[in-house]
Amino acid sequence: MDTQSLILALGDATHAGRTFNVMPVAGDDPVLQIAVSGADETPVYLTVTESQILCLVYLFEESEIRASALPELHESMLRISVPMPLSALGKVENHYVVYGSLSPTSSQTEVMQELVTLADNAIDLLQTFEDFLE
Amino acid sequence: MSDKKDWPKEVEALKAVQLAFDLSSDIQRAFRVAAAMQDLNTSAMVRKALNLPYRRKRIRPRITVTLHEEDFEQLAARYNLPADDRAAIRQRVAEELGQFATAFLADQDTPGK
Repeated sequence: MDTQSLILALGDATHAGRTFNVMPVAGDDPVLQIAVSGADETPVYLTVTESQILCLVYLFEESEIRASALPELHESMLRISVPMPLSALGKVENHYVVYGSLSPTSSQTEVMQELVTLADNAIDLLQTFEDFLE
Repeated sequence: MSDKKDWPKEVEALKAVQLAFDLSSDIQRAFRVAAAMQDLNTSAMVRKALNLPYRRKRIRPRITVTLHEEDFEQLAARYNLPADDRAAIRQRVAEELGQFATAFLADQDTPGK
């Protein structure tokens, strides 16, 4: 599975009643920005390496967090990350992210399942963590 | 960490995603600003940039602000007015918004900005 075949496959696909708006992002390495219908506000960034298909949604920046709430937020993130289906929480530079990774040999259906779950999880997380933000 | 032979490639992939996110954010911001300046919604602005047909929705250039009790108190303190003199406070709010708009538009017209 590579990004080119995903562009073609996702463009016409439907999974659990959801469709996918795929936009390649200009750059040296292929990265796709994928908006899942019904969760357009949390676009998924996807890239494929030899080891994994990495799917990632940006949640918020460090500067958006109330300073006094930071320890409690981190504790909450660690606890939520385990039961959250197919996704985990992390940090990239100064951005908090939710991500999921799949085997590069995953099927199209598995990738679509990941994308839908991740985008929905991101919306739930933004609501869950709202009180920790400025 | 560097002992893991595949991880440097994953770090590179993560950097590529970060660059893509930054670029997308910049593009989105540019389109929101361009749309606002042309009284279009963002999706119409995107269609216009691509020379596709778009619908120009009539956007009423109306500014409203809902002021709550605590807002009046805060503004009264800043304007040095009694908190119950709401007409005077509203007048000062209107003046301040007008000043902001004048300064903003002058700034936009300055060459090189």
